[in-house]
Amino acid sequence: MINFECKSIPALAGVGLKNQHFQSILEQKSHVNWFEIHAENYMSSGGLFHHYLELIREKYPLSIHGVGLSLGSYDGVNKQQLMEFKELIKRYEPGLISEHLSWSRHGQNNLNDLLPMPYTKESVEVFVNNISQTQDFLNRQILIENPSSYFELNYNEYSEQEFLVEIAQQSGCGILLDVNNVFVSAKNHKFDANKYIDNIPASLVKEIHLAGHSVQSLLSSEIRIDDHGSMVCDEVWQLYQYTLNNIGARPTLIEWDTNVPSWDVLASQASIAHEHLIKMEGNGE
Amino acid sequence: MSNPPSLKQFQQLMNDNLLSTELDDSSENLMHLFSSKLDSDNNVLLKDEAQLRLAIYRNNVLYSLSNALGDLYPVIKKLIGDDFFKTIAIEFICKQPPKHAALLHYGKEFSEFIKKFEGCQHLKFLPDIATLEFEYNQAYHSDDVDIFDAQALGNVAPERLGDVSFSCHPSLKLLKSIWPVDDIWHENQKETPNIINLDDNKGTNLLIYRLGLSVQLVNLDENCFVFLKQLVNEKTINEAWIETNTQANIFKRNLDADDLSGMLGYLFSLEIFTAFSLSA
Repeated sequence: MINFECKSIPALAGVGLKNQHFQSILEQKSHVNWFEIHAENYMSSGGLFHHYLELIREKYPLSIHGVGLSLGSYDGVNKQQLMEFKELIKRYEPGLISEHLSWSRHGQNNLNDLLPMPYTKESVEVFVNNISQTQDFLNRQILIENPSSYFELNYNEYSEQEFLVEIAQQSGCGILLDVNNVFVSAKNHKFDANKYIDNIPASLVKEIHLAGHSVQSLLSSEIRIDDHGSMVCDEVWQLYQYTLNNIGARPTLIEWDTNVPSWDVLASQASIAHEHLIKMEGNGE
Repeated sequence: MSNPPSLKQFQQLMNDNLLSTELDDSSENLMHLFSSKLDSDNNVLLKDEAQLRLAIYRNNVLYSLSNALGDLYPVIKKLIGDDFFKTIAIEFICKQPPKHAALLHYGKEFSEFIKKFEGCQHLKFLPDIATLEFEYNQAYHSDDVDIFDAQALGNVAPERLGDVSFSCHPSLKLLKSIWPVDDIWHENQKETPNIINLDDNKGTNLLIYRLGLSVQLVNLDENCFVFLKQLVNEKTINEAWIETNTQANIFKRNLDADDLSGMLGYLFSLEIFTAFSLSA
């Protein structure tokens, strides 16, 4: 096992690491400057996944993105999973650590999805407690990502962006702004995506996510599904540029998790983000 | 529910509804909490829309987990077909959802579940194939350890060799089946598997472990399987050999005194031992 030193993530383009691309990444040059892993895919002790992750981590900074800590669960954070999360962080010394504004565990059941929270005062309290406990245990700041959602609750006391900013300010966590998720939820719940971005203080945002989504029919209208299974669409690229103009350049990740494409296709999406980023003032190569 | 639910009540409602394929009273309670921004001139029933919104989350949960199970059990999926696999997987997921967010270790109980599942019971070898696939996956992700060099045993006085016991690679598992599970597994790695005659009464004494980065499946001879099983249980070479002889006598298998060195040499060549110790 190699001892890594923490390497910070530049305000350039990265991609979500897929095992299909391990070999290509080590062989090819591209505009991909960093990688992000889903923590749960590496919660094992050895084998091929860790073999390649070590080789890639030797060359690039890494971000660790949790999908299963379930920080929105009313009964707190699962200690065992938190310990495994910390082990992974100790092993790979990531530049950024993130999780979601959602929940996925009820009692012992892990539902393997980013489920929506009611945006209430009770939820703020639960979220802030769980984030604080996580940050204290890891002795690191974490970032919280805004989700895509397919329903809203009629007893919400906050809008999503109000809730996100509130928990960030109370817990001291940062924000991972998923521009595709803002776009998807704005379409699904008929709110203004630009206004959502306007209401997020730039200083809180430490990372951006971009991904493709699909459109399905919903009776006589349509609904957008965040499936990470295609290229980033033009409207999301436009919203991304709007975000950069608002908050400045940030490390930007392309996610592609279903129907995973060839390395070249994924790297070319990162190149587009790279072009946007290097045009930003003070962010030349 | 007239007052808004607590977070606990909401998460309970979601849990119950996502791990189900039916709509019942609790689904009604949940869907009453969804806000709707439909225009008043829209003729669509709100209830239909709520059901579709709930269905998106249900699909995400059940299909992502059934896909994950399909990735963990590709041979079972191939043997029974995609549609039937999905039916079994969804029933399994609703009854035994993952207890850990990392799905690498999900589905340990799948073999037992298949054994009792109506519609699979004529395929009597399926549960053993499921066990093989589960252990294969565990081995694939298990700890990386150094293999010990058999030369190191050269330092042990020859008369003490019988007192040596071994530590085995953490991935190592032994699987005994009355079915040719290794042949079935290997054939189903091919695009068009050859037909395997199950009437040959060919059982399997399978050793599953990882060598470097790849998982090995080795069908051992019966005596060697018994011998290794003893070594895995930290018995000394002498103890393991005595038990191997005892069982060979009971089951009337040939075993010569000379076979011991051949068996040990063969097991060393597989690179499954990580250390040895010498009992006092």
